Amino acid sequence: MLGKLLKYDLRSVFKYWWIAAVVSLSLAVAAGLLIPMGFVENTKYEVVQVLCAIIAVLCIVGMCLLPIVGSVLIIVRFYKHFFTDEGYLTFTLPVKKHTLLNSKLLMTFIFQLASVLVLVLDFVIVYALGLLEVFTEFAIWNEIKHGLDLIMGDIVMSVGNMWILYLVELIIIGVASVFVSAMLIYLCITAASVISKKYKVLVAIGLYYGANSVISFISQFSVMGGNYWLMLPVLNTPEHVNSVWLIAAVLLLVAGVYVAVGAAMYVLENYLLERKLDLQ
Amino acid sequence: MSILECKNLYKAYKSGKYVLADMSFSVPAGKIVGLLGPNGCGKSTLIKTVAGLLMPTKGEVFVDGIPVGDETKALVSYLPERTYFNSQMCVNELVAYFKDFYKDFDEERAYQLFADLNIDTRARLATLSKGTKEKVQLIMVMSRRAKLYLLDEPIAGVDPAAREYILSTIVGNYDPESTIMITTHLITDVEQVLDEFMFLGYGGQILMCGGADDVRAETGKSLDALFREVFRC
Repeated sequence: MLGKLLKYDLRSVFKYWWIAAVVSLSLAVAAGLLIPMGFVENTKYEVVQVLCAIIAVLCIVGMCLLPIVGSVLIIVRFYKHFFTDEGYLTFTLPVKKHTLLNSKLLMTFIFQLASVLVLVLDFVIVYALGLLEVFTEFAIWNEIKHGLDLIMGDIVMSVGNMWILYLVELIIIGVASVFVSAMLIYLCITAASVISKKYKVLVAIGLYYGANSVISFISQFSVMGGNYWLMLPVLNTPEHVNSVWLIAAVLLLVAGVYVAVGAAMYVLENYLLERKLDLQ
Repeated sequence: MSILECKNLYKAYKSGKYVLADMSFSVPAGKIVGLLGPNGCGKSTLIKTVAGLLMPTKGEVFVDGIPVGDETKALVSYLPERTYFNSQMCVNELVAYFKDFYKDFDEERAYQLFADLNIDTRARLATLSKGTKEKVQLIMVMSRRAKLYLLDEPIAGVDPAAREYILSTIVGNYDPESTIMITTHLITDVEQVLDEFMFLGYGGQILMCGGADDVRAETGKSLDALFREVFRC
């Protein structure tokens, strides 16, 4: 049943997402073509050069909106499928509530990943069509390459092969953060539907804003405390080996917190859908 | 054997007021039952509770001996009082959707009924008239070979000719071993097809119930006349 639900969810969102993806790729092509005109002195009129540069930047901003468009489509799908008249069909399917929820989460992951892949392709297009010429003209690439070599060299010297563990932990944190972000939105929408049938959208926005404020406060407080342990001079002391493991432990702790918070949200969301959802 | 059984069922919404209070009844298999009552008496609430859309505050509800939940949704075919399909879907996409999720869905029957009504199955639901949408919904629901059909106000808001069609579709396409529960306050149209009836008062009280033919024979009155007597304002 999960496969069937996912098929219809993906189909429903893809119907509009592909348009946003094509627009994003088109903007990337436009940006790629305009960047050399805007940043390389090969036009007679400075005004044209400036306009090209501005439009190129706007194109880059536009193409980066794809993940936001994707998120909006996913949220609308969740809301309409569960909390509008379509909910009468959704919740009378012979499917468990957590299967319905799992389908929505998988849909979120797939479209977020697809958006990231399109964005990567966008930047490849912008680089190939435009940035390469600019970097070559101003010999920027050598500077960037030199800088990256310095940074990577410093990191590898300081942490050795631990960077592989850090990378794995950061990937886990990345995936878990997507899960937590999606669950937070879903939970706010569901809780709002339980709290208020009439003003569920407003209540959902309020809950989301409130929850985000609390999370930001706790995160900043944790980062301030964590910064004490991550100060760079520590890495250069004889005790830096312990600090390297400490960083790994902190990253693991952060990953664990994300996973635990996400799991708690999932359990709460499932409970609300099972026990508290009254479609009227 | 009972297809539907309610035991001491209570349902209250957030206001705290009980819409259904201490309802206990059973519905036999193979009957067309009319759930009749004034607006706001709890007919839709009862139907939605049996369909699994609402959680009882107290009490139990069983469909074919199984507590209402994900399992009973495979046995129950529910038609709400509003349009509940994704309006961006085409009719044939809807058929594929039902076929995917309901093992008892009869695709051939559905397409036959669409052909009888000249409904273009390639048409998007959003482009259909209100009456046609309601017919599409009814066809989809009645094309399932369910044990229990729950039809919430199936003839409200449609013209008399459409009402006649809907009722003939209901009677002509259900399995005689299945049970149909119809809620309505348009009793005159519906009473001819009913085997049994239940008059529901406010708070979900069952004021009167029994065989439709029996009560007509006993009282010499139609169900509509009886309804007007029982619920006189």
